[in-house]
Amino acid sequence: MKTIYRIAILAVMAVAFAVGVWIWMSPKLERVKLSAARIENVRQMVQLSSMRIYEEIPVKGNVGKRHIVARLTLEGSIDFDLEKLHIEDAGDTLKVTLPPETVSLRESTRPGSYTVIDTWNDNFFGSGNISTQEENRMKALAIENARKGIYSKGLVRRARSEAVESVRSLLSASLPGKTVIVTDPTPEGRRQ
Amino acid sequence: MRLRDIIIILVAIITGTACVSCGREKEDDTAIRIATEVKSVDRLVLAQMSVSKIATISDLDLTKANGLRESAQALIDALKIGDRKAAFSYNTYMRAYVDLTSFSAEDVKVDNSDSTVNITLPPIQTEFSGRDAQMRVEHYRVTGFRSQVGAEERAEIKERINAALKKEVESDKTFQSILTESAELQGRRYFENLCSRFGYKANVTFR
Repeated sequence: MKTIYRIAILAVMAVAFAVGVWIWMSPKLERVKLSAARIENVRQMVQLSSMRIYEEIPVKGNVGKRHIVARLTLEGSIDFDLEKLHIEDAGDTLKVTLPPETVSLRESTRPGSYTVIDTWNDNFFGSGNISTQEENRMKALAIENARKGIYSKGLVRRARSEAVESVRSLLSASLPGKTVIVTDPTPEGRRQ
Repeated sequence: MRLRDIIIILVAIITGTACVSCGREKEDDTAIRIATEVKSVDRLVLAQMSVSKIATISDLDLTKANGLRESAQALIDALKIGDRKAAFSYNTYMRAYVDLTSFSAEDVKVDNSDSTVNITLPPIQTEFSGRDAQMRVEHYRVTGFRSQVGAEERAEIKERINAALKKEVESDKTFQSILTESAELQGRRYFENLCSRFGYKANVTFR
C-alpha cells in the first residue's frame, strides 16, 4: 500500500513538472500590443546645428508622500534658424547677425534612456504609484533644469562662437565674390 | 568565551555591516550621476519628422488564447475583479541634414555669363533626434482590485515602443525617403532664394 502511495506521489510530481516545463517553454504572453508607426508631421526648416548634447540626469520628485527616483538620458542640440538670419548687403560685404539659438532637449532614443529606479510611499501601507501626468510634470521640470545647466556650463557660448564661423564659411562659399562678416549680438545666448 | 569578547565581536559585525551599507549608498548615488557628452557638429538641418506609435495594455482574451500557458493566464485574468486597459503613445523625432564639414567653396561653381551658381551639397543624412519625455495617455481604465499601471511598467512599455519603432523605420524605407525628399526640396528652395537675393540663379544638386 505504501509503495502504491509513493508511486502515485511521484507520478503526480512528474506530471506537474512536465506541465511546468511545457508552460515555461511556450511563447511569452503578450498583454502589450503595439500599433504600426504613424507619421505625425514633416516640418521643413533651415537650421544650423553646431552642437550635439547627451546628458544623463536624475529625476527625483514627490507628490505628497509618494516618491519617484529615475534616471533619464537626454539628447539634444543647439541650433540656429538660418531663415531668421539678418543679412545687410553693403556692396561687396555682407553683414550678418547670428539669430537666437534654440536649445532642444529630448529623451534619448538610446536603449535604456529612461529607467525607474524606485517608487515608494512614506506611509507603509500607502501606494507608491505615480500617475502618468505626475511623472510627466517631474520629467519636464528635470529637463528644464538640464536646459538651464546647458547655459551655465557655457555650452551655448561655445555653440554660438562655433556657429559664427559656420555661418561665415557657408555664406562665403555659397555667395562667391562676397565678403561675409558675421556678428553675434548675444554671445552668451538668450535664456528661454 | 567571556561576555566582553561576545560584545566586541557583535560591535565589529555591526560596524562592518554599516560600512558595507555606506558603500552601497555611495554606489547608488553615483548610479544617477550627471554626465554630459558634448560633440561639436556642423550640420544644416533641413527637415524634421515626428512619428508616433501606440501601445495598448489589456487582459488576455480567453476566446483568443493560444496554447495552455496563454489559456491558463487568460483564465486567471478572467477571474480577476475589475478591468485593466490602457493605451499610451509618444512622438519620436527624426532629422534630415547635410554635413557641412564636407562642404567647401570647391562645391560651388559660378558661371558669370548667365549669373548662375551651381551648388553641390553633401548627401542628405537622417538620424533619430530624441523622443518626447512625456507620455500621452490615450486611454486609461483600471477598475476593481486591479493594479494601476505604474512608472516602471510605463518605462518598460516606452522601451518596447522605442525598439519596435527603430526596427520598423529601418525596415520600411518610406519614412526615410519622405524625410529625405522633403529635406532636398527645402535645401534647393533655401539656396535658390538666398542666391536670387543677390542676383544669381542657383542650381542645387546633392552628391
